[in-house]
Amino acid sequence: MARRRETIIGLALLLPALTAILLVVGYPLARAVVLSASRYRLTEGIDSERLCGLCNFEALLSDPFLGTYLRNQTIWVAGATFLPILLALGIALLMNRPLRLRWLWRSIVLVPWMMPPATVAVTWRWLYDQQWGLLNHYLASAGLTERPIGFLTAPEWVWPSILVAATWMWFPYNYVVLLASLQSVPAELYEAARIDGASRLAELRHITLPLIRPVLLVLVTLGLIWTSNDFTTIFLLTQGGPGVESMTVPPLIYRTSFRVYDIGRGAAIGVILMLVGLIFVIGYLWLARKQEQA
Amino acid sequence: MSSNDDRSRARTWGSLLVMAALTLAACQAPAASPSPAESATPAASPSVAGESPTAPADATYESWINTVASTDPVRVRIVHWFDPANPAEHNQELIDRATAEWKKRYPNGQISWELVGWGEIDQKTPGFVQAGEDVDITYNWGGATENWCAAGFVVPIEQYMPAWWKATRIPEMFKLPANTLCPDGTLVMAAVGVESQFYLVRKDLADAAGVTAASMATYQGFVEGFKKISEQTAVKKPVGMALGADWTTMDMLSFLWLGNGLRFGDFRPDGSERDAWIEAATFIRDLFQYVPEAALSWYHDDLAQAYVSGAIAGRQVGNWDYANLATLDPSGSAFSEAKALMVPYPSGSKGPGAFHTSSYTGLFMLSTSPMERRQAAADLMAIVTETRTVWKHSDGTNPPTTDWTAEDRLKVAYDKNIGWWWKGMEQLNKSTATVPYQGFKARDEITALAYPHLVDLFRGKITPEELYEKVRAGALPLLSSN
Repeated sequence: MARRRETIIGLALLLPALTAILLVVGYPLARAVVLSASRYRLTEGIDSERLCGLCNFEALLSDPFLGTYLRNQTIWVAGATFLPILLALGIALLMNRPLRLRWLWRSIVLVPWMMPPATVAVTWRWLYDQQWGLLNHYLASAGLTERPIGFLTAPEWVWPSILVAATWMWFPYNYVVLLASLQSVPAELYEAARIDGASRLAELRHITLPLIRPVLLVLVTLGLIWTSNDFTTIFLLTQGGPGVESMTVPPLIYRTSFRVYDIGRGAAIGVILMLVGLIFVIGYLWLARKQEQA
Repeated sequence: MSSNDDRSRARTWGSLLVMAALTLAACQAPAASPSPAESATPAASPSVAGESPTAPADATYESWINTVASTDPVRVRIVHWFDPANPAEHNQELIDRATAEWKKRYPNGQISWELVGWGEIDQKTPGFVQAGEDVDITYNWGGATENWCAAGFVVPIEQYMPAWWKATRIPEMFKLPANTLCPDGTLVMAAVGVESQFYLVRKDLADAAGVTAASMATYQGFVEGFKKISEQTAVKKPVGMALGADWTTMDMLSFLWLGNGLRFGDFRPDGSERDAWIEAATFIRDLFQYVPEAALSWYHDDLAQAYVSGAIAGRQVGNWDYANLATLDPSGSAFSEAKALMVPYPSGSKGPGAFHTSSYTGLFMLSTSPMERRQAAADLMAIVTETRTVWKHSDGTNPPTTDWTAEDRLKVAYDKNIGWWWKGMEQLNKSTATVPYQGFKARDEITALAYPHLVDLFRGKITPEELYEKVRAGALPLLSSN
């Protein structure tokens, strides 16, 4: 009886929070799903919404640029997840060693993380500019280029340029987490390995990486979730252009919903993105649970 | 104190009161400014909620503005945009003046001014309407009118506008294809300015290359002119365009289809547009040779920067760009009377000859405006677009009012330095054909689908014929379904 009462009180206490979640998450989610199954273009009228089943998803499949969007999303998510982690790992390994003024270097590395993403993106856009950009100016001054490079306009340069900017923006978070993780690796393991004659590379491969693997997995999963939803970086650097050469899914949702005013199709793209994101979230929760159990 | 002194003081005060009462009575005598209580009578005041104001009170601005329309605490919400290049005090002066004037008609009313950026105003309006926010008035350019009419965002305003206002507007504003009107001819915009678009070319570079405005009047002459500038001056890629996004690209290019008797989205089931469309697309391809690759990442601000820094020698320009260019180039090294050659748009074989486009920018009443506020909102629209106000505050654009000259406007101009620009426009208006700028059906959708193909044309990956086929294939279903 007392247990039942406890359960009822527990549920009653949860009710306000549940109601709030239902209102701010549940309703918009359900509305997005309904919209994705509706033909709703604002240009056809405010009250033009009507259910149309899978019409928006069919239209997406017949989009001539679908392949380009998917390619871009893959390049972006993979690149902007793994490159910052790789750079962060390298810097964390370096900062984990005795260095003069290590506190200073450790602080400087965090600078990109302190800056608002929009400011960083706009700054990189100016650095890359073909006409006035600092990068082209210095390359030309050093005699390395004869004509300015279109970092954000030439098809062969646009993705490397975007990924460099993204790596710069996002590696500090990974670095902080990895440095903390490296500091938790017992020093005796390295001493024992050195007595056995292990090289630095062998230490990294057989001691460091296996021990920080759980943290790396969490970083990868979080990176996949965050980059797949990121709108700011691409939109402020290129708006998905030139043409659709750097168009990823979040800016595509924005363009479809708020420039073309096709709310239904924008919602359909959003629902697909949400489902893909859900896979990453499930992976993250599974990992977290596994680590908790371990 | 004697009683005589008291009497004397009482007489003095009494005289003063009588004089004050007589003075007040004299001020009120012409009935131009009746007290709120008097003017609230039906005969003196136009009623609210959709009924036309009575003729005598609205025949002239002066009589109309001094007639109290309502003493109710009516509220009007306006979402406005100002050119950020204009001095803030200029814009504040307009707000203060319009508010003060409107208060004469609605002494207990209140205006809520919300100032937003240009991009935001286009994005926010659908949001306001969809969310049912009680916004009465918003600002936009005429390229949006057709879509907004189709979507039911805007309401007809002619019934609310006073007689003096209608009598002082240019007649073209009330006739199709003016984009103050929905496609069915309903007036939905109170124009603040008439935008003219044309090309701006660096005069010193054109002179050095032996190029004149007259020599650039055709598609071929236009390309040839920039070829000469490219060959004979240091600016190797002289043509500037903002090709960084789909909508900026359409802003840059759509005039060229107008120059061949078409609109960009003019795809017809019988294909009768094919030859003229491809001729325009071929011209664009030829012109692209003289556009720097950097333009693929440029938006409007970058284009302005490119022009004033001398990176390019020519760009499409609207007369409203004056404030922006003048602010960016205070020394006049690229943008001044001595350096600016106003070049009309070139024409294709089916076009009108050298021309400039004309489109309206102004205030729309949104369908979210509550019925009981619409008359008060319309009155504010009339005040903001009143003749002297637009002469002073419509900046680079031409006022949508009758009977003015650049000289007239200069007398009230906020910035007197603008004279050369207005006079140049006046000359261009007189000497070349005016083509009303028109948007096109499903404009945003067709723009989005055409943009990647236009970039491919820029890179020489597709031919003008292929561009036509690809855009047409995507556009026809959109045109039939919209």
